[in-house]
Amino acid sequence: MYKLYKPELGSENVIRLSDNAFIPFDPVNTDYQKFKLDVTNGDQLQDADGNVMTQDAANAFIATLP
Amino acid sequence: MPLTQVPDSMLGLGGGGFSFRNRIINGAMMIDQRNAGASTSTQGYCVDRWAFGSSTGTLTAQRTGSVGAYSLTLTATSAVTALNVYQRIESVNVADLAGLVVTVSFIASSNAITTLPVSVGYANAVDNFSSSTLIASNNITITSTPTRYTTQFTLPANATNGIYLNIANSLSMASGNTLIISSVQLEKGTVATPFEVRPYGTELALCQRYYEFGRTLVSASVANSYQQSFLVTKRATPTLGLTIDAGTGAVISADGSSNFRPTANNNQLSAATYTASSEL
Repeated sequence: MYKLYKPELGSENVIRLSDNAFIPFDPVNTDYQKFKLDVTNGDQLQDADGNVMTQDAANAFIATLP
Repeated sequence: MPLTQVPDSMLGLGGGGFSFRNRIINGAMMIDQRNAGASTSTQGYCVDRWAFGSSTGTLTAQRTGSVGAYSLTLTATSAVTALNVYQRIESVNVADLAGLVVTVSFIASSNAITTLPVSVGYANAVDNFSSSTLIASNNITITSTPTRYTTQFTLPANATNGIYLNIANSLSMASGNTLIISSVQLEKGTVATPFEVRPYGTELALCQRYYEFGRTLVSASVANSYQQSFLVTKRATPTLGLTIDAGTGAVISADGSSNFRPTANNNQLSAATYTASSEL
């Protein structure tokens, strides 16, 4: 499971909830590559407020990412 | 003069022009930032730069031995299938080898395994191993006596994307089986030269391009936060972890591959431990 996180300073991240790791939106970061695959394959994505995104909304969001 | 005729003293530490032949980082298994010699059963990275994973079963990985003679020891704690023990090499460190023959050498032994499949493959996109293509897999016959083995591969043009060396390609192990690996080297050409010994600090820095941990200070508020530098610039913007000594709610974010910023510790300044991973 993942949760979006936008820090007040710095670039947008996603938090991997299994270990609270902060994953940057960097196309050559391996964890970021896996995040996109996981969500596309149905893993849960929460918005920054903790609301679970629908699969369609999650897919649409993933499509906007680098 | 062929490298085989070059004195060992010229090929090792301080060997000058023949240094950095080995494209494998931490082939000596001596750097173990994550576990410091402790056993781990969590599949993924174990000693630095080396990862392991299986389809079924459980096993442990541990740096064993002592200074100057470390090994990676894998021990099956139940029947294991499709075990892979591999290192991914980023594109910038192997692009010059595309189209060439490379020689892999390593020391291996096992209490039960006699056939060790060793493979090489390439990433299907630059430094992205979420899908990869096998180049070749060569079976090596091993014994219970630690012995140095060599095998060769011809890398195709796509090796410019980055390659992996899998020292146990889809291996099956029965419970109690062990596999002990050390002195892994991948080098250009058809000759296995003596294992290249690099200074500890150099090898550690090479590893820290992909993973590091350290101590930091987490500010009490965003307004008071400051940018800090990684020990070594990372391969990519890294994934970060943060464990604070006191407080709650702290966060950390990377500012590119060189800097990071821990902050927002609910109005409490605190020391903390961070991890940064940009593994392949």
